[in-house]
Amino acid sequence: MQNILVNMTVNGEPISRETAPNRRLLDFLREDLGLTSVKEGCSVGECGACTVILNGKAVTSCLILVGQAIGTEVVTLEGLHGEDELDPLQQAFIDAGAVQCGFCTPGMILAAKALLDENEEPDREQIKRSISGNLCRCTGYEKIIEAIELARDRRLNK
Amino acid sequence: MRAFNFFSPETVEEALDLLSQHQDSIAVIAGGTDLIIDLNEGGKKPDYVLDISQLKELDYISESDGMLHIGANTTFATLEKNELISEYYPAIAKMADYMGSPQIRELGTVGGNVVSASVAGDSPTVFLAYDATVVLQSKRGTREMSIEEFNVNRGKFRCQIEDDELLIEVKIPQANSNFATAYRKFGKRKSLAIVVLATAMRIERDRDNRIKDARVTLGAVSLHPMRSPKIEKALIGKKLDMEELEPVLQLYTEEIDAAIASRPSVVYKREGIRGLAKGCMMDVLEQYGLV
Repeated sequence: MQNILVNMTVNGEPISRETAPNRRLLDFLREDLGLTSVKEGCSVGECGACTVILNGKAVTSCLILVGQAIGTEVVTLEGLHGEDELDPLQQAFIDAGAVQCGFCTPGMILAAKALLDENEEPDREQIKRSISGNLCRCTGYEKIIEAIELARDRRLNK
Repeated sequence: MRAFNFFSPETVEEALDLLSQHQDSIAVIAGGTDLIIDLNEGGKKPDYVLDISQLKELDYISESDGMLHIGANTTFATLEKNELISEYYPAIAKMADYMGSPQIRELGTVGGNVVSASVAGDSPTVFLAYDATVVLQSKRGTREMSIEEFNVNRGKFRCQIEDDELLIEVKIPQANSNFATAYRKFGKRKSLAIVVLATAMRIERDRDNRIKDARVTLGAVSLHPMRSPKIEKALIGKKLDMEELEPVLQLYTEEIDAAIASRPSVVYKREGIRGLAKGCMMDVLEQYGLV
């Protein structure tokens, strides 16, 4: 097996690492780059805990081989906040009480971010649809939807 | 995940070279939403993995020569957001809308869904109703076949693709104002649900708003989606009016009885199919502006 050279931008930083190709983007981000906000839940693309933003789109990193992500721009939860300030979505999740056990939270926030970056004024139905690939087994969906609405409104300065 | 060598060709030509060279133990990856699960769980152990997801030349949706051409690398998210599709190909739009989750729609491709030819897949049922043709390419050349012929098991694949071939395009006859198409499905929930039961139809009307031609398909009731000549025949000549169409629902039930008689779920599906079929009929009437 030949190793591959992975060049990509992760949370704004260019990175270049050699790795075996029989690994998923999820493994590479968690184990090699230490980005542990990327959670492994179901491993079959159903729970959304491993969601990252790749070239602007929310995708499940358990269903991408690391070699397929060469040359892409990846954003994980670690890339959202600034120096002293949280991303409006992160702050809204705290303020709305949308975090229970927290395992689904990074994926939920990133799925919501991909939505808000594409559509700055989504309605409740569009918000629900945007997180339909993310499971919260504490079942805190109402608060999560409220948090996304709050972040939407704050981003629009409402 | 077992070790393999990874190829990411930059052109279709390069991909076909690699495929032909390593055809005994190579897996083609596009969206990866099925394959990576198999690799990860050890169900598939190829020596080589060929990534075609970067081949932009296979990512297109266009109309020409009386056909709609969908490149194999078109994702379901692209289909979902495409105006041509949402305006003129409602059954395809509906299929994209039903498919997976937002994350899966960004990854999964039309080519991958068609080649996987899963019993519980969405696209084969829809493309069969649209009278689709698949375009296959290898170093040996290009060939085309109807999706009906393509959807026949062959060795390790659930369709007629050869080891050295790539599916590069799905094409269907171009829409016109006499066509109406619909697709309805049951899954266990709204998102991320594979097909439990599905049906699609393409209706062509005549000047008097009678059904001139019909293609009706049933999904997840046999190894591959099937057409129902019986239902199609019953629909042809009927006036496009729910009262006149409704008696045909009984034939849907009979088809389900015949197809899955021995399955315990037949008692639900013989009823459920009527709801799906009626929904399709309503969609068709709506597209014609007849409701």
